[in-house]
Amino acid sequence: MSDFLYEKFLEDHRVYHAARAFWFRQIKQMLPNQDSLVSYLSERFENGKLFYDGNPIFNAINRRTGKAVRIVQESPREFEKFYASFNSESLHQIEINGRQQFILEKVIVLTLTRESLEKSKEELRGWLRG
Amino acid sequence: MHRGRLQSQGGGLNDSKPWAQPVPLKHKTSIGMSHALEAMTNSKEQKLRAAAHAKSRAFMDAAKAAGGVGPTSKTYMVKGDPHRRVDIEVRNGKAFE
Repeated sequence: MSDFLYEKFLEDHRVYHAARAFWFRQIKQMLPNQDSLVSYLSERFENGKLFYDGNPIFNAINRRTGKAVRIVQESPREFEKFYASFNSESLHQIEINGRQQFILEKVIVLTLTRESLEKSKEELRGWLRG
Repeated sequence: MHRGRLQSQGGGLNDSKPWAQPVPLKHKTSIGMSHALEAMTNSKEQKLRAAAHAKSRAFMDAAKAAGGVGPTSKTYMVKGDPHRRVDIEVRNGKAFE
């Protein structure tokens, strides 16, 4: 049995949508109840079609803290087991308390397994809470 | 204004090709910028990053076919390397149409 979750997400749009929903649930449940997540990047072309490439598979900002997370899910076929993360001051901006601020991003690029999921959640818990 | 940047990061690199202009960045211009970004590095780095640059250009091609793209960020990692990457950031407006 494969170690990879949602392994065929790039081949089957139903699997892709399920993977997106999975990420949203995983990250939403890390937040304190009063915090809300808002998408800050487009995952669609101008004609409305999703990128369907996992890049990103999930993006959201915690408006209270101004901290954002962007998850890029890579193809297991190409990347095998892979995990990378970095922090970045994005060019994108958000208004917090009446001031425009550059968004601070935690970017995680991975192939999705139980192990990489746990590692990403460990990184994101503290980050998103501020 | 339409703004953004293409970047080659990690592995000691911090190369960038930004744009800021009153009209959307054309696909043809972005492909040229991508090749110029790729050429800023030495041949070893170019070889390591070739697939990542190619994927970033494939996204520009897909965006052109779909009428362009608005504010978004894309990261293309070098396979097997947790540091080297190529980024696309469309900050404002539209690009790759």
